[in-house]
Amino acid sequence: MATGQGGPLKGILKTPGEPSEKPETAREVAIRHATLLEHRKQLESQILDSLILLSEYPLVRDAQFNASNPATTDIADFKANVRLFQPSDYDDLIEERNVNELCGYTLCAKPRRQTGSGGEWKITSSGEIVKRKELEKWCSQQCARRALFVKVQLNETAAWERAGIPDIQIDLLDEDRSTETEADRTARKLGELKLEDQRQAARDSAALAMERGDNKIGPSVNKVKVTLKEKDVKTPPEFAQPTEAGNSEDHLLVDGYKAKIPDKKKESDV
Amino acid sequence: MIDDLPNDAKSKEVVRLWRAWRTVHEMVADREYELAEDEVSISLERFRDEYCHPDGSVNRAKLQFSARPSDSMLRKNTPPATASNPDPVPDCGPIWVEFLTDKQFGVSQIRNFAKYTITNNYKTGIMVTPVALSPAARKSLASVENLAKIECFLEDDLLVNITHHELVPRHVLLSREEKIALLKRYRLKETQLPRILQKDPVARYLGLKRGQVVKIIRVSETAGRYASYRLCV
Repeated sequence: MATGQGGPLKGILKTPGEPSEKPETAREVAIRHATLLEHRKQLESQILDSLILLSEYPLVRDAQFNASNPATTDIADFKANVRLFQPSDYDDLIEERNVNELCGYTLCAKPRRQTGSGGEWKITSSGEIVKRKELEKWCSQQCARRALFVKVQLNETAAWERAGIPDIQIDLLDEDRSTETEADRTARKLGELKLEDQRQAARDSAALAMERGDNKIGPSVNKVKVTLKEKDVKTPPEFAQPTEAGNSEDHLLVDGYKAKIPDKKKESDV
Repeated sequence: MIDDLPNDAKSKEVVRLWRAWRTVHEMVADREYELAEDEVSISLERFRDEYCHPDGSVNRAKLQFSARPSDSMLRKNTPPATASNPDPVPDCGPIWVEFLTDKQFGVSQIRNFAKYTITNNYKTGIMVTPVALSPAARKSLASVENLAKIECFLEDDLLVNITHHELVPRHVLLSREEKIALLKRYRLKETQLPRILQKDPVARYLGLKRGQVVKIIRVSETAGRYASYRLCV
């Protein structure tokens, strides 16, 4: 072999050097990711819990309340619980309510429609042909509209990305606004406008925070302690002004410095 | 003639349930629970005699059974003894199988089944349902995972035993010692093995848990038999 002479043979494989990360940092990173995942899991189970809770609503079933005029406590609970839902979770909720033989709209206490036996399709009174399953989800067309009104307000983004944002609000289709006066309406509009501004500001700052890589869960390990220190500045020495008194070497000075020309060349300079 | 049609539908239903009943028994026997041979290979006549109403329809409430793990299964599922845990207990237990009768399955039905399984100290519960679970019910299964393993099968999925198909190779579950020996023999880390999903039909059939290894024995034209190993994830 050509490389046979001299010294021990060297392997072509990389030497298993030290790992690039210290075990402590690796552990910290692992813990950070684990807390993130744990947070997500908690949110998911929280959503599942609210889903199961809402599948039995409304809690107040008096004669004076109905789907268009539910009890205020139920409305508040519904709004609070449905806040984190994604549209798919909402579909699951409707299905779960149907299993409980209730109308798909959460605030409706009526049982869902039963269209009797028959095929997969059904002709409605208005002449449309719809799937039986779609028809049997609700007690009436009104409730279907109310439920879909809520669904379109839900957000596709994952729950953990908006869990911290406080001002996601769900409106109901027929919240009573007939009794309010002109002044009330103006006030509400103004309030909405203001709220919209605030939301925009919150969104902007959240987006900025995301870009920075901040996250609210768990301490970030990427933080580096930075201390600003003033650098000592040394002013250059003032050079002496050439005196008028006629030094013979004045013309050799450059910025007050005279280049030294060695008298005799040394050997090393050659 | 008029009487003929419902009877025909009924007898179809009986055959369907008989096939599902047999498959679920074969499944439990393949997981090495103790089952008698005549329980597993029950004939259609005997099934009709034992589990049908006089009018010919199946009495679904009777379609349930339990089984205890055999000694070899207990041995397989016992973690190796260590210094801190000199007398390990096997992580498998009796199994409960039930054919449910509801028309729809929501969270409450699942909770009832899980509660029954847990209060009767079963470690595994298999529910066979005629229709699919609601999405929320499926998600809620995960919450009882550490108390009992609840598995759901559709009747339709159990009409044939998939492991008897000629294109499905034999899957053998490895014990803990065998897994350790395998990893040592090939100098592998667990993650370097090929993987099999937990929702894979054969993995569901065998009730694999995360981290278990199956040996898959295929017929090979050149080698006669070829074994590969997969880690359940």
